[in-house]
Amino acid sequence: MTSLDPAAPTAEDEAVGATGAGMLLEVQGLEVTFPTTRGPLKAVDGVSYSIAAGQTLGVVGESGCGKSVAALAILGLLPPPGAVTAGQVLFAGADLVRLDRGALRRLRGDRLAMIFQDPLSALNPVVPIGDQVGETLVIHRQVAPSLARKEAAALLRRVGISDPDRRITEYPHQLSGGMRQRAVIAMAVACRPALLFADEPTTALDVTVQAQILDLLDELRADTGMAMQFISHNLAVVSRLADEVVVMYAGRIVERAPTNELFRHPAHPYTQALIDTVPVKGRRPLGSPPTKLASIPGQVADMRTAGPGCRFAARCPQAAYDCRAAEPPLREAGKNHWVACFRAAT
Amino acid sequence: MTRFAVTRAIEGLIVLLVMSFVVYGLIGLMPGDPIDLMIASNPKLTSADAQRLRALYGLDRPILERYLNWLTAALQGDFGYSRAFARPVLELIGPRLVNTLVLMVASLTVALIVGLAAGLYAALHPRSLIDDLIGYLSFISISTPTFWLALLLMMLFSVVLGVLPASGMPVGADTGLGERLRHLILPVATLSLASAGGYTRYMRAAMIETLGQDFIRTARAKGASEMRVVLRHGLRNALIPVITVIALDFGALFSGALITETMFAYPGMGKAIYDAIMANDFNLALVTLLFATLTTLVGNFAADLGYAWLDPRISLAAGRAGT
Repeated sequence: MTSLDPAAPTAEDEAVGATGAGMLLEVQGLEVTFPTTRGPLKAVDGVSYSIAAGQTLGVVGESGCGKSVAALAILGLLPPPGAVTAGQVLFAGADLVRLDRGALRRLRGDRLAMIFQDPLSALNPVVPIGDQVGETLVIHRQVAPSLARKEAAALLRRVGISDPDRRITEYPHQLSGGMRQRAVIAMAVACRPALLFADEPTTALDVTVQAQILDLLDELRADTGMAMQFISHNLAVVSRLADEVVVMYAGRIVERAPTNELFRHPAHPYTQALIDTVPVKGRRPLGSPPTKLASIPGQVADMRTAGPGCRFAARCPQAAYDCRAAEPPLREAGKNHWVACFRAAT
Repeated sequence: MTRFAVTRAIEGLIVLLVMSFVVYGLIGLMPGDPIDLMIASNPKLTSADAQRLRALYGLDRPILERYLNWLTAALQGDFGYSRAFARPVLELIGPRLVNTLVLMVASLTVALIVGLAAGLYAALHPRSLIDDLIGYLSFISISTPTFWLALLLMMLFSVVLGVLPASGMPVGADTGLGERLRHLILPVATLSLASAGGYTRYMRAAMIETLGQDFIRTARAKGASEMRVVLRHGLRNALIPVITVIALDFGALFSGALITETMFAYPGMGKAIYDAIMANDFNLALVTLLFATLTTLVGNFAADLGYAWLDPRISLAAGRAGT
């Protein structure tokens, strides 16, 4: 990796920066709204968090909780007609929300990168792998396409794809699922970004490949010192990589804590329920009848018709009258541990 | 790739052979044969004369035998004489073939440039005023009958304005290039306006669908400029379905050419088919109709090749693509 871009800061440099006061990414009161025929839908509603350089933040929640939308909004990749309607996103001193399109585009793929869930649909079916991986360098480093192809081979080797010189001439349909995701990762880290958004990068892969991809991401982070926002509905996966975890529900953050703390002392009833849904190996004695996997009853409330109270109240076993009357604010439940629940112990 | 092309070419030849029999049979079913025409123009012929003439020309033989005779001669390059023009069929259609190809290639080029550009623009500015306008215009183009459009253009440019000839392109090598081009303008305008609307709709739909794909978002996440996203990642994928439609439309282009040529008295294959059928000119009708079949086959063949060229997933599965 280092040979590709000798000018880039080393992992040590960035780690030193991380111990300073400045955060790499600071999201403050982010609000994303989609106008719909039944009124505006706030997919992300007043979300604030920050990521220090070299750190990994896990973002967890059910489908539709706004975790992917928040990441797309930060990168300026929201599908129309969605738009950021409030808040700011500070990255390297600039507010990404107010940055003009061209300046944000120059950051994307260079300082900020993103990888997606399904590597097959994320790759262009009619462009050779090498050209797609090298394209990041063509765009941001003005590398000639022929040279970019050579660099692409080195990048593919770096992410663990064997025989990269042959692979660069192949098309996405000729690669296995795991190899495709490796290629997508190579594409994202080509310019050594400071922050990588990973949106469910292992969900579409089979379990053995999942573990390899997670190891690869962790290894790349350690090598390059990049920070990561790891988005997943899978708590077990997040626990492997994240330093800190944010739990989202219906467009809001309900709990935020360092990973170990969150798993040891989940404060929000939703977090507790999520942890209970993770199947535990060996819980069932051999030969005994299969136990039902735990699930959370009900479904995420429609954010357009939700009342004034806590959005999880309808599904919450501990909900009381005050939960439906007012939105619980985020308050401190321990060191660096924040929770938005009236019932949680502090 | 080569194997794929050869297989498709052989399949095409088989289709052409079958079609030649079908067309031969259908023409045989038409009321009246050459001898009836002779009787009509010469009342002195007796029915005994007619009988003798039928035997002389082999017209009393069963249709299969007549077809095989025709096929044997045709394979040796002898397509017979045109009754109406009193010249060998091949010699007759040579210059007409060139005229039709010029008309079709020119119309297709104009229609593609107009249609693809308008469709691309509309796809990139969906629900804008210009998108709506392009939408209305393409529906007008799709639903306007060719012959009526030809009449309108003739009235405007030949009658009212008097700037372009309505018909009568001269045949022969001594016609100047400028004169030929002047005669081409209205037929090309008619034929290309009729197809451009369809191409616009297909291009718009394909491009909008492609721009909604995940890999477009990946390209944007890489920091690709809008131009790069559209031209490098969008266009090639969007063209895959469009190419198919255009190639399948080749047959329609040919029949459109038939009507257009007739309207403008443009001496091409379409006009030849029309004249041949109106004059019961069997040999000429057979060859010109087979040419129409050949045009459609070539169109489909071109679609397969274009498809394989644009989409790497196709060329590698040659066996599966032959559908």
